[in-house]
Amino acid sequence: MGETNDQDLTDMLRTAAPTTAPPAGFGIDDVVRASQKATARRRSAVAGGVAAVVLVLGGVTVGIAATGGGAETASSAAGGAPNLERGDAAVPPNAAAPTVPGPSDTGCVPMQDPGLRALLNEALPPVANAREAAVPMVCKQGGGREVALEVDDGPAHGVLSVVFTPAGEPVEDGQPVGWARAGSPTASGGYVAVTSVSDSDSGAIPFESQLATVASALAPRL
Amino acid sequence: MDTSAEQEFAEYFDARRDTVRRTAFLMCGDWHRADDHAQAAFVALHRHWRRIRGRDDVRVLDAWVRRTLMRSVVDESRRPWRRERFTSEVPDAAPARDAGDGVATRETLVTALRSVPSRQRAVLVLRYFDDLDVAATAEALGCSEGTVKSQTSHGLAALRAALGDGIDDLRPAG
Repeated sequence: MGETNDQDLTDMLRTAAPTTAPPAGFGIDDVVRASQKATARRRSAVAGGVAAVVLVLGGVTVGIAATGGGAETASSAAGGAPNLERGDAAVPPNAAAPTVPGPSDTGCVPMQDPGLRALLNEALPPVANAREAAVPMVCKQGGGREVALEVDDGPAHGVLSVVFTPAGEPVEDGQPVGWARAGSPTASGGYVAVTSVSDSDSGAIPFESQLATVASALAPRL
Repeated sequence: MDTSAEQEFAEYFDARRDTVRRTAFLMCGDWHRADDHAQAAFVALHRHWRRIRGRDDVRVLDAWVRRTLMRSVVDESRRPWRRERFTSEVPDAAPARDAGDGVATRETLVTALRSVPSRQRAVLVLRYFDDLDVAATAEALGCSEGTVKSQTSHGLAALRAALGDGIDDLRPAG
């Protein structure tokens, strides 16, 4: 054992790298599209956080609106519908009285959960400006929430991850899939969520850019 | 991004995609997951391309992608629903008749690598497959050079234990 064995082993490792690979499952177009999508979601999440703060500071109570007020609320929310692109995550737990399906209902986990990120920012202010870490697109039955950040703590740096898995949920592998959702309070005090889930390996989500418009159009009628 | 930046990114992507995929495969042992990780790394790179490409050094780009890739893979292994399970059951080594065969050796090593803890595996992959020195490996993993050295030692020990007696069959006939 020792140096000689280590040398043999490292020599074998150096020559054992695979020389062939199956065709790539993604191309430049997939990368650019996913990047643009992630950037748009990031902006929406930031806007959603601002909108949530405005709602709380303004003392707006969701879910008790009369028809007129409800229409106004729906209208306001419709204007910010893209803020809810990540569905559940952009809605503070105490701000949305209507029942909104959470990520567990779709079986998909937000890659970077804005709601969880906000909670983390409160609990650990130094990471408030941390950059999101790269994480693969995952989807798992039963739901869950997660956030992964590239963080620096003095000379130490790394990835800080917070993962929430609901009690009793099975632990299993995920699979690449994308999802998006837009939602809005409705005129009757309810809540409409428009969700689109990708079924393609590329993660492209059907009608993603139109989800907010659809939610805004439906809200005054429901 | 403007057109020239997109073009630069596309050229870098074309030049590095297979290398990044291969590294990811060696880390996770599965081409589908390797593609997920590789794509995630390139997506992250694209998002930060304007800032990173300004450094005008392809080695900086390589280091950034490598670091992002490793964090993605290592971090994934910590997720509850994808947490890797280590077992005392060592995968069977390649049959003796396959000794000396490059493909069998590769498959045996890749299989054995999967039983090495993720951080140690990352060190082995970067140092011996990607041929990085200790300093570059430390940079990619965001740790000290001392940690790389100790993780290398532990990783090789874990790999040797995973290979068991099969290690003798893997040595090239001499």
